[in-house]
Amino acid sequence: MLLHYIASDHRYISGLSAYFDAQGCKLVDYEPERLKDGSFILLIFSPVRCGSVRVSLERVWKKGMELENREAILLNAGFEEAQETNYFDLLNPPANWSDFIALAKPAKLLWEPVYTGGMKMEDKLARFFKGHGAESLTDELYVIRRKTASLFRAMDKYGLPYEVAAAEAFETDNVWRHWEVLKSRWSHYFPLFFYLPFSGQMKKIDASIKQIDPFFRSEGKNGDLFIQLECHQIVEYIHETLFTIEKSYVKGNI
Amino acid sequence: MSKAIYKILVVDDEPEFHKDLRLALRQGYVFEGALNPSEMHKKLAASDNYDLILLDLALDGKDSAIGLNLIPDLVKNFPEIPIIVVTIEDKISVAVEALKKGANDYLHKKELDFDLWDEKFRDAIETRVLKKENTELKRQVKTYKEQISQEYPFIGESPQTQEIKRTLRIVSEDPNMTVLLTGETGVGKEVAARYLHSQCVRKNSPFVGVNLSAIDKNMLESELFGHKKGSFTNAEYDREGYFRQADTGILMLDEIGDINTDIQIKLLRFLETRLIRPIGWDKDVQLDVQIVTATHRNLQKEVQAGNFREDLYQRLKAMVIEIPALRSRKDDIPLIIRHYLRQQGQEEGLIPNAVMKILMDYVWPGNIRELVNTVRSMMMRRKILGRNIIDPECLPKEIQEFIPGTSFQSQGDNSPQLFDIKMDDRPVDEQKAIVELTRIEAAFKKHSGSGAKKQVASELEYDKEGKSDNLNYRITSFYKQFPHLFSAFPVISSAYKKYIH
Repeated sequence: MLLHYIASDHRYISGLSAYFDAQGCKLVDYEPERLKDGSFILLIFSPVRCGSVRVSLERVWKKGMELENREAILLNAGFEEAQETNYFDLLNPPANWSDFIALAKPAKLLWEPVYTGGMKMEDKLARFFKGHGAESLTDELYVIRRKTASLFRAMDKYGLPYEVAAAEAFETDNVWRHWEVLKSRWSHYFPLFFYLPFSGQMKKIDASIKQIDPFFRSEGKNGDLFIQLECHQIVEYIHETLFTIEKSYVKGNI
Repeated sequence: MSKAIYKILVVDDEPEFHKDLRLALRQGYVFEGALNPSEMHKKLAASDNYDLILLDLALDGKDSAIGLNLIPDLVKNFPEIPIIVVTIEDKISVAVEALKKGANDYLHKKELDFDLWDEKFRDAIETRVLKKENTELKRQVKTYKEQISQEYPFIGESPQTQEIKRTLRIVSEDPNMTVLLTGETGVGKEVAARYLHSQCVRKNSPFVGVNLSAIDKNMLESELFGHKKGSFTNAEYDREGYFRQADTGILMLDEIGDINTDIQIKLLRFLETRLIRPIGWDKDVQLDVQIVTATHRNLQKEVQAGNFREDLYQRLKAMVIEIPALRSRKDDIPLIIRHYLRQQGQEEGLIPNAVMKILMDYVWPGNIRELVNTVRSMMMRRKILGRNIIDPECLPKEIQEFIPGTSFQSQGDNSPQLFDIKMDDRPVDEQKAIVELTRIEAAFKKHSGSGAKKQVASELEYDKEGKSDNLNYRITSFYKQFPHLFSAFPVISSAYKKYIH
């Protein structure tokens, strides 16, 4: 049996290798693209250290499985003393793994993972998307997007030269400051997103931000960068991706 | 085709939003801005010709209630201007409240999509324009219907007319009853059909009246049932056809006795199945149309003569309503005349009783149509003669002949009196012949000798355009058609004994 795991402390894995060998299980580091496999089982050694904080990822993962593979099984392992299905007590591992797995509930059913400490990732996500008053990442992104979209539309639809459209678009607004706030906010949160069902998308967003950063650092003076770096399209991509994630993981119930 | 340019009032506390909107939608719109409610009121007080208001809700950056509370007043004071809320607020409850208060649409700023917004703005504006046009069209239709109803009023209080109206009201209770209206030309068959329409459940649906004899026979099928573009030479456009135009309403087919066998078959099929097939179509169309037909012909005789299908006739005669000739309901004549005078803005007292009596005594072979034309002609002659009222001299000659003391009836001879001849059962052409022959007979009595024909022709204005043989032609023509009448006109018969045996 193949068992995917997420752990920030690999000592757990080495400590349990004899146990899992005896149960006929092969532990493999979590591969996001395997989530949709029919018999996907994920074991999270919780809480997980992400950057400088320890977070509990279970509820976000359960939501991810509900969205991506409703038959997938989520297990979390910790030191809490609890007798729940889907909970692997590290101090008292199940004697019979086959029975334990047979009783485990798939993600589609209604059940609550055992909380084993750490900051709750669902709260961090909500704060990422909606916190920080009017300077949330999505607020900053909206202002930037409005600029790039209007600039692009004026050029694309009405044939305005970049210089003319940019002079109008960037006349008074300090969009560059908004970009810096966004980057700062992003770099603060990005390490938290390493072990999530949508980590792959977050990594692409990180690369996208880096891709178009030169245009914003040039404060729009170089029109070629706007076109060559596909700033409008990239900003739209970032928005679409974040919008989908927010809709699935923040606006819905986790 | 270039798009219309619309004027939009943007109410938003963020100046950059105004700028971005102008840049992204720089063609097709003229934007004016207000950063707060006070500026908005000033703008609207200065000009209310905005096509759209874009309203942010949190006009202080925080409280959505500020914008929400503006909506009812805007709706009340500027009902013609649609409102679209554009806000950062994404709570569904706020959107619902904005729409309940009268906003036309709700856009979330973070879901920014300028192409979609462009579409939404135009939709809101053009829907408003369409609504306005629709209201105007409804008003015009109402006015038109009122005009039609004034133009085609079923006037008359005579027992015969009251009975016809009562029958039509009863018939109107069955909206699928096929009705055949018969009667002489000009008796008001279309007026009766419109009266039926005004009384029945189809009154808010179309009334389409078609005079079949006025349509080129080669085009009749296409005109009635429609055609597809290219289905025959010269079919350059799709044509809907009168049947489809009348869907859910009434189609009145006047002069039904004049249609050829092919059209008769198609009409019969419709009456049996409610289906038509436009030319060039490969499938039938089902319609809900009540058929009212009318004719001055005797359809039974047309069936016997082989000109009209028996089965169609049986279908059409399900409900036959005979509209009586005007001469058989003389009490209606003053009412119709007064109605016409009122319609023309003339005083009812313009026609003195003596003249009214003459008009009531006349036979009116052309029925109401002739009566209305006669009144129109009398009004004109009154002006030409410079009279205050319509006196007998304003009457047309054929009516003057009937004035007691001038017409041959009152001369005490043995000539058959016109009113002794039973007119009602005769075809219109024959009735007209009687009227004209009566005038000629009377004229011959005034003139004798070798120049009599010329004098008669001159008096009756048959010699116009230098055609002095017109009188001869008339007499011989009448004799060919109605030889049996001439025993009643001995003076004519004597003058034309060469032709009349």
